[in-house]
Amino acid sequence: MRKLLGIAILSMLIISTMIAGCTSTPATTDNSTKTTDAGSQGIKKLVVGTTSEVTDLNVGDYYFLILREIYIVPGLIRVSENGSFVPELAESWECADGKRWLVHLQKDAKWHDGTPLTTDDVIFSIDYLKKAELSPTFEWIESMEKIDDHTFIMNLIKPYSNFPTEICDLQVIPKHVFKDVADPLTFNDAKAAIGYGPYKLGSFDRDAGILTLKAFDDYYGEKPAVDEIEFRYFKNQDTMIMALKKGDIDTTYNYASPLKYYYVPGLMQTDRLKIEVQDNLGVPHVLGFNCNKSFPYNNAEFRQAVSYALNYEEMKNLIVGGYGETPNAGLVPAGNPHYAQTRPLTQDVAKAGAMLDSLGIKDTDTDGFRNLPDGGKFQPVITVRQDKVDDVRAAELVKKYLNNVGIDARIDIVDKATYRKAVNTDRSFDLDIFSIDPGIIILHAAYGTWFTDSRETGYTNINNQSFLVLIDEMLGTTDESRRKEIATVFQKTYEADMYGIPLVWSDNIYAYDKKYAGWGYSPIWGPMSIETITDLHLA
Amino acid sequence: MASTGRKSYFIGKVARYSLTLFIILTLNFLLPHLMPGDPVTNIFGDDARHAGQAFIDRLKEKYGLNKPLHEQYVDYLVRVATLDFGYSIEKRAEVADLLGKRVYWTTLLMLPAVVISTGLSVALGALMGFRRGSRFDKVMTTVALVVYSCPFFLLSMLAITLFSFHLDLFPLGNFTSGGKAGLAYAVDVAYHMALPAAVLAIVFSSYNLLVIRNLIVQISSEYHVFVAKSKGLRNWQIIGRHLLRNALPQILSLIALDLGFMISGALIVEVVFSLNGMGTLIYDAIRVGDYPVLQGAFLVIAISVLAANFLAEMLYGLADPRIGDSAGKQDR
Repeated sequence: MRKLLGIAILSMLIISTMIAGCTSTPATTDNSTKTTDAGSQGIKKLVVGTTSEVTDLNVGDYYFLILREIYIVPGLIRVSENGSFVPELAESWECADGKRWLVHLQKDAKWHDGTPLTTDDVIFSIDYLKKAELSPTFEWIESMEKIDDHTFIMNLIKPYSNFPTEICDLQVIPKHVFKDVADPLTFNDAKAAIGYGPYKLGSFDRDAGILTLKAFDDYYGEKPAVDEIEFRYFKNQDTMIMALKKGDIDTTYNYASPLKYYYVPGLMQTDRLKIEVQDNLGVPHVLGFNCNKSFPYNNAEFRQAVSYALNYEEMKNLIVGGYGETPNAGLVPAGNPHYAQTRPLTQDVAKAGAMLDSLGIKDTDTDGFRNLPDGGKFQPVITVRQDKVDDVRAAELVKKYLNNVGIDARIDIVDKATYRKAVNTDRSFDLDIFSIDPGIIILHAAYGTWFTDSRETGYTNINNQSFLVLIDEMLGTTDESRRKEIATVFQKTYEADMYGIPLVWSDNIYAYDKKYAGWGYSPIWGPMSIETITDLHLA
Repeated sequence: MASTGRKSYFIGKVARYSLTLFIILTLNFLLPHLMPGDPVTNIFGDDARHAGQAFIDRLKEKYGLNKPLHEQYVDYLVRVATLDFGYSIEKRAEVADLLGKRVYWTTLLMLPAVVISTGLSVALGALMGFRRGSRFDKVMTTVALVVYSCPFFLLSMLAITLFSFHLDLFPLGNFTSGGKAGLAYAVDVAYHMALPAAVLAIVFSSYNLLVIRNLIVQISSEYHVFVAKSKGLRNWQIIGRHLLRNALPQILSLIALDLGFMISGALIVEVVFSLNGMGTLIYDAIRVGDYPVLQGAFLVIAISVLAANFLAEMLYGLADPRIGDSAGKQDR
């Protein structure tokens, strides 16, 4: 018996030693195939690890779409490092009324197979992808007019001054390839990857989990500094971080999902790596209210009361590990254009309780939880997606804070389809947790209106007609000073009416091999932006 | 008589398994029609809600969803016979293609693991059972229990951390490094599979060897083993001829279960080692409600388990001479 116990203890000690050894320095890898010639500023190969796995070379594949948008078919316009719209495939564009957009294409743009790119490709793309129902962007376009091979006019169904945000996503596809393809969603072929951007498809080895992009020599813009980008796919972040520490990869990338804070201590111990922290121009977690539902969800004072119940400092520490700030009221973080200062969100449990009391939401049946003014049970349900683990964690914390002020909140963790149905289709939810990506905060009338316009989505399901009228005015006006005024009104309205409560403002954490310098940070794409691939060089 | 008995045994088994297969196929067909909600969503998955109507109409036309139920059933049986398991909107691929690739890689990963674990379990389990109470038995029992109790994710992460990350003996994941062909490709695949297959083999062995050990202990107490020892037979002769031979039917059942469920993959190992196998396919399908993939996977796994058990029962009939006798006696 004693011998058996000794063997068991010895086994545990061995396992514990192995676990403790996990923090020590790994064997390093010398990947000389991806280093440059001595003295050269160009980089032969950049190896990027990612868990955003491309399933197939298909225009409908979400993660392939991301890569295509950044490198292969980067849109007519793109958002630069400083957040402004800059030319891409569109050399210039004009619009006086928000409805009729005159666009001039780059005259020397070519497809990766050498075929010249013309207006016909753009017109074909819009018609073809609209029929395939592949993008809501095309719903805005009523008709197209060809002026010449490099000039056309887009007529919109109604004025939309923020249309450049939509045509950043407008992926032009080659007419000479897709005209023979009956269904783009079933076209899994390397030809689906033909584009005009700075990179073309090199290879895609699904079994090896490697997708390579090669610099396109005939790109009309600035030649990339990186000859080849190799994306290596991992199914979990832990293994990807090991590869980063080992030197198998130079950096990591996941769209709108930078590194988690708990990897930082381990990465800091690896000398060859540098950690950078950038502001996130989106909001990672928002508590949304179904503002078109019955009392109390449709009551601004109730929503304000809830905002005073939450412990933002604790959420900052527990959700993002301190890599961020406690937020201000509203859905637009600091750093966004025309940012208007709003009140910092703070916890005040006494004030929350008093506000709820004043609304008649009191514990009338003495069960420890508040009731509605008519005496009925009050059990708001927080709907959250099961695949977004940080959202689930945020929901648990919100539930705790609401319980502390006497609200018997529940959580409903559902799959993506059920969430979409409850939030966007049926609009039957009470409260929800959602995130605002930096790329989506600028959509629609910008300033998070894609989430607050109940005609678009149901995340906050606002039924405030004057607010919706203001959105329409923002969409229609091209007067920049008026746009700034409306932006301020949006943000002040969010502050006063609290359609959604930001739970934390986060930082984006990136890690990369120190041997490279010149990383650019697109507000939408993060470090894997066109600025990076044109400016990257040996440190 | 014995051959008649054995023949009826085999025929009975064939009939029973055929009926089971038919029931599984029918249930698989009926399931989406019996579920509450929109049948199109039930058949094509939750992505059907967001796919274009024209696209959905084409799929409905292709899969005959506008026909009466009995006609759909016949079409379904014909499609299954021709390995057409439908279309996955989520993955934008034919389910048969998806399953084909994943089953191939899963088999390549799991089969060596099952074979190795079988060999290890039988050898070690027999020795442990024969030397019950010895130091060897105690040590191996403890090791097996520790391994079996250890969370699978922890074991996999420990293995990859130690052998791939610290010692750099194995790659960090995927099936190959890419860019290779011929023999170099085969060697590269084997190199990538070695560590995950080893982890799986060890985990499978930890359970199987305890079962086999206990089987051997049970059989060791029978009189014929005492007689064998009294005759002065060597230990390996007793183990091989008298112990394992009598434990063979139960061992075959264990192997059949392992082989049958082999096709379902090993989700945790696939995630840790970044392998696109059946485990991750099924998990992804569950997450997004990709019912065509789930139905196809369910069918493939069910058929695989049925086939493995059928094979085991056939081998059982060959391995155990008493089966023909008892069946023959019942015929008289």
